[in-house]
Amino acid sequence: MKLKFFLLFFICSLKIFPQNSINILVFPAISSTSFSALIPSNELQNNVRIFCVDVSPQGIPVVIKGTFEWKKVGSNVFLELGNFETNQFISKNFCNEELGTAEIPIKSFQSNQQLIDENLQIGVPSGVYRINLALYNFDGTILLAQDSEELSFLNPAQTLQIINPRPNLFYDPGNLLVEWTSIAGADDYFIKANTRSNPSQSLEEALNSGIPLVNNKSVGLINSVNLREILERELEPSSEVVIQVSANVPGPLGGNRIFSQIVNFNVVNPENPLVNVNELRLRNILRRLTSSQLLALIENNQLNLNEIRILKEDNSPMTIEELVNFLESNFENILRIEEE
Amino acid sequence: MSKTLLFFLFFFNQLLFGQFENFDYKTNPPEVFENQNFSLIIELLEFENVNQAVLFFRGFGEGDFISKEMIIQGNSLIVEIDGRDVKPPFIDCYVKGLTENGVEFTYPQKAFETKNFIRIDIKNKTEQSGELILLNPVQDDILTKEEFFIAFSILRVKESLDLTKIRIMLNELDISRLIQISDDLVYIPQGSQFELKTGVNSLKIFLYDKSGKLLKELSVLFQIISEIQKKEFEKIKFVLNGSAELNLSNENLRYGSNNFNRLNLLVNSNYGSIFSNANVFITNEEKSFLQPQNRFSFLLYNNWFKLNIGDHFPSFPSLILSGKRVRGFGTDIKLGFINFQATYGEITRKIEGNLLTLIKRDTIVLDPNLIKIDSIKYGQPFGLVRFGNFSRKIFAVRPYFGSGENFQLGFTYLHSRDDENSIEFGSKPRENLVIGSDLFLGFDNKRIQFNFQGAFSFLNNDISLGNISDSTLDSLKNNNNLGIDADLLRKIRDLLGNFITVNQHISPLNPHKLPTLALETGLSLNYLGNYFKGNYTYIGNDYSSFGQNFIRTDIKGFQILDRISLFENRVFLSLTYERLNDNLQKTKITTTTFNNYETALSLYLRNNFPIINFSFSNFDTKNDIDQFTNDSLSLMNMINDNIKVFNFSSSYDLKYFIKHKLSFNFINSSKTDLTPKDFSSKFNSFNFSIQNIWKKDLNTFIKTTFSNSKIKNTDFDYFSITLGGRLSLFENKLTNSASLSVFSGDLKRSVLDLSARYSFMKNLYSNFNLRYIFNSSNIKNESIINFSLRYELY
Amino acid sequence: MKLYSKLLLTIVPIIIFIGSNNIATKKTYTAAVVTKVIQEVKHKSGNEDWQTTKPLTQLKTNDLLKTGQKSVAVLKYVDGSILRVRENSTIVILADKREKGLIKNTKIENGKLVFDVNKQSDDDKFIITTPTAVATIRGTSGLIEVLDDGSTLLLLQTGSIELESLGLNRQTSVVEAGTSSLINPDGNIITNELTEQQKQSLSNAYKTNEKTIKVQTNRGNFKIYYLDSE
Repeated sequence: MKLKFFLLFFICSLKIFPQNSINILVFPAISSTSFSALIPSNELQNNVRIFCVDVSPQGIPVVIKGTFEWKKVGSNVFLELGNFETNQFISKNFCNEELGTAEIPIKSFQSNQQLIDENLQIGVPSGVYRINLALYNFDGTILLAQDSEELSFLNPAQTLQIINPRPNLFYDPGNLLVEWTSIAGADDYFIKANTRSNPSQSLEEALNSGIPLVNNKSVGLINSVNLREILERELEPSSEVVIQVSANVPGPLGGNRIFSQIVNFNVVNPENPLVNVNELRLRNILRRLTSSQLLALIENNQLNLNEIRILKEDNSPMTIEELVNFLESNFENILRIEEE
Repeated sequence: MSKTLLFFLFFFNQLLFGQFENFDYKTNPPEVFENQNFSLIIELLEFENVNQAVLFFRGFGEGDFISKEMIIQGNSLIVEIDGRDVKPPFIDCYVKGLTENGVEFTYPQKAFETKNFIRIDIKNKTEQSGELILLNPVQDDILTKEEFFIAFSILRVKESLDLTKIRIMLNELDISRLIQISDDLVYIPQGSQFELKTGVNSLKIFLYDKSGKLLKELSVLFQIISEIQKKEFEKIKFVLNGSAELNLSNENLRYGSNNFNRLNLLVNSNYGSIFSNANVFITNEEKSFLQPQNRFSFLLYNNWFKLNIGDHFPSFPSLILSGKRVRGFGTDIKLGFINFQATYGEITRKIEGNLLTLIKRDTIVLDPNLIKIDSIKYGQPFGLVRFGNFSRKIFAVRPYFGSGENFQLGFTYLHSRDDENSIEFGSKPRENLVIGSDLFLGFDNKRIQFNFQGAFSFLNNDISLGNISDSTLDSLKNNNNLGIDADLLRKIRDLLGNFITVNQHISPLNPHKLPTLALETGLSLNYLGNYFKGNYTYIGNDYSSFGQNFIRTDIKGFQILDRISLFENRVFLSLTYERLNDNLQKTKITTTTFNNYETALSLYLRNNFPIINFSFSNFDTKNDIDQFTNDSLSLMNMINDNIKVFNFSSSYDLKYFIKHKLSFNFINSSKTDLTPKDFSSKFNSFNFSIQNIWKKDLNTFIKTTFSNSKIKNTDFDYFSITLGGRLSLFENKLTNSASLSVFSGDLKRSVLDLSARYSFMKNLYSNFNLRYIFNSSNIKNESIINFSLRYELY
Repeated sequence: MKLYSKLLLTIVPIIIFIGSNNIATKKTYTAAVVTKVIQEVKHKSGNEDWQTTKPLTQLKTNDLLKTGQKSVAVLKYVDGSILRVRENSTIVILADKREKGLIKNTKIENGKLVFDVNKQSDDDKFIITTPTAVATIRGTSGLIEVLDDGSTLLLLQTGSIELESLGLNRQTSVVEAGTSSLINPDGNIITNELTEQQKQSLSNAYKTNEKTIKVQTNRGNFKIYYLDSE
């Protein structure tokens, strides 16, 4: 009998006094964010959700005390950046953007100015930050539960570079290896490729015009791929192609997408593999002359040599090949090139 | 009898072998001067049975012979050569003909094979008068008024000449009073007072001896062209040209079917020195949920003013704005030393996002696509969305000094901002401000060039909260726990706030460390066939310009390039070395260094020798993480790889019965990854092709490819062969081509390409292309059909 | 007799004096006139500064003429012979007017020129001198160039030339049309047939008529200025 009453009392007391807990959930492996997301201040509100807190029990007046610590890159020791205490509020689940609002106002906040300055000197969050949260009773005197979590800011955006194909070279349409540098923290790479309709189109314009040959196709966590295997449309012989690789680095509000440079290359035409030779010959011969705007336009791929008109003094037309042959055989008689 | 027999034997012998040797020739006039018409008379000394004769002639240094039908008059073959084809020092010619019996003959015998031609000496005009040597102008000269002067030599006649009685008549007007004499040179200088008329003018010179008797008379005609009148004529000329092209395409591929319909209209015109271009491109790929695919642009310009309306690509310093399509207005005004360019318009079109799921306040959800939404409208404060794109506008202005011929200094201001009210479901509307400067110096006809550009950027990653408010600043001031100098922040906001939104999301927070600074500088020298260039680049980790989205940041280093032409520009050698590193602000746990070098050799040895190109590239990328570490974070971040690329190509025109164009290419690329991740790869590709030019309107080609690649233990090898040809018919009105490519190995398919081009008339033609792909059994066959119609207006 | 002797003694010196003065006053002679200038050409007389050359510039004995990069000067001697002085060349005009005939000597210090010399009478001479060779020309056309190492290259198109080398191994040779001769600083003369490339160079060197090729693009229009045949 006594045992039954003890168990009943125990069960009732459990109900009357439910189990206290506080559990912090942080965004996995965020690469970067701004400092404002980390500062729990009444004054500086933000929209970026970095962490959330699961509180139990709910509906009771509680106070939360927290500390932020920082371990710099290359150090093993956590140092306190600052600490805060909220006013009393009715316990509920919340996320970082609610700290400092009317619902969960901050009673006090203290910081280590030197460390804050050091962080600002760097400019972006780097290293490892640790959040320690403690749940207290309504007047902040009795500790009910506590938890801590680390936020790792990995290498901020590295630059992504396409190694292959090389700009302006010629490649076989049947086979092309695309290679690029690694990005730490990336969880996926994407390829986008398109046809450039004419050299006066900028590379960015060419990449975004029309329906791409490869439309942001996910290739996984690798650094090279055979373009032939991922083509969604056919490569046309004699066409010029632009390609870009991007890396997805997860984070709040869409994470970060890192983009490589846009590289342009040409696809060989088996019927006339020499079509590029005239352009090479023209570049070489113009380089031998003093520099001109015409050479600059060709070298910057801003001219479609198939769309220019060449006229002799009597206004009869000349082809590119005829012009190149003429310039090569009469090089010493070329005086100058001027823009009209 | 025997003599008669001998005669006939000789005659028939000649008939059989077509050898006529009894020819003689003369010219009329006997001495031929340049630009002078003359007749060539070939006299048949014995036989009169020529039915047809053609003269083939060419001037000195010319490769091809010009043919001209000869007139047969009795025993003579006569042809008139136009003065335009008569240039010193000589003309080579030969005759080919047919006798009445159909026997071909050549004079001189086997002239073309032995290069034994009839050579007619052509004298210079200055000899025309013999003793009176006219130096300028000469017969049929074409000069401007400014270039015109009269000069002749009396070297040969001075002894008997009465210098006081020299008479010069210009267009029948006596201008002898203007004569000046220097030793044996008689001249009337430029700028003298006499009338020249545009068009044909006449000059007559009369020399008298001491007794008053006419010693020598010379008369020439020449043309005067006025530069100003020539330009005036071009000014009032109106020129219009353009093209219209309709392109219809259907692609039926394994991933689905697509139809593309495109129309491109282009009109160019100029009225004197004012030029305009209009371009309209319309496509069915235009969709409201994509960035614009249609293009509309109008350009108006002359030599000092340019106006762009519609889609245009402003060209500013490359660090700030380059390659970006702007839909709006752009202008460039060149006033000489002071110039100005500006652009304003939209660079990103708004695309609305979608609300996917509503999320309650107390629900703990950490998701990249979670944002606050209108709780009154949707009933909940958060939602999971597919993000849209804000509309983004850009404004850039650049005053610059100097034309850029030898000097230019420019200053650029760029501002770009997302319109946060343009869509409902977006995140982080941003704003960007960039200021920069650029300098160009050129010396010695631009053989020495120095370039510099620098820029500093500000970026606000979330302007949705607007500028930091006064109340917030006051509150920060009162509550100093954050250690933020509120007064300083207020000053910064008041100053910068006119240009960019200032709040806690602005970058850089540490401007003194220059994370948003970008610099590029370079020097190039071009002398003695040697082009040398050195560049230095510094781009801070936080540098950002909305006008140049894909610039590589957090990088600094230099590049050296040397391009040399040797052996009278027959050999080109280029060498490039580049060394870069990142982690400029020491924000990363490791610094990565890039060491790249490339070398290329091109041989353009003419005179029947192949064109050869070699290139070799080596790329080393390594960071400073300890290779033997066991730390998981370090292992994940370790980079240590080397890529080597070797490329060889050659092309050659071979003449063996017909012309064959040979082309050969070999690429070898190998990447060695020395980290535990081991993303090593190898790639080899060999291509050979031959194009046979049977006739001008018929050619064929064969191409083979061997390819082998290995990416992280996955092989991809294939072999292909392509056969094809091109044929033109109906006087090149219709051109057809066909090719078949067969692939085997890891890529199994066959590709049939057919195309036809037909010219309805000179300016109107159509193209039809069909590509049919026979895939391996488990993939459906694919086809691409394309038809286009193009009209050119000249 | 005494009177006669006195007369002779008086008149002869006078005649000699006048004659010598005449000879002395013929130190400068207008030997040639410039008829065309392409780009940068300068000339100089005596100790004067270099002046910009224009058409109708007269060149007297001992005058210098030089052409710059991509520049050409066409000059005609008073006997009608034409010289086309190509780029980066310097020449000296030397002319000696005799009672009968005119001796013309063009000295090339560096560079190259194309010569088109009219048939010379017995009293005339046309000579071209380089650091390593002397060429006597009689109704001939061709090209002569001083190479970087001081050698002389002669490409002969028509006529024939007497060539004399000036090096240690002095040689003389008669060079015929259609041949090239290389005279090295040692004085050796090496003669061969004109190659196709040399024929092309020769043909190109004759061109002094400025023409243009227009290149129209959607990024602007350009003109390529070049020299063509006259």
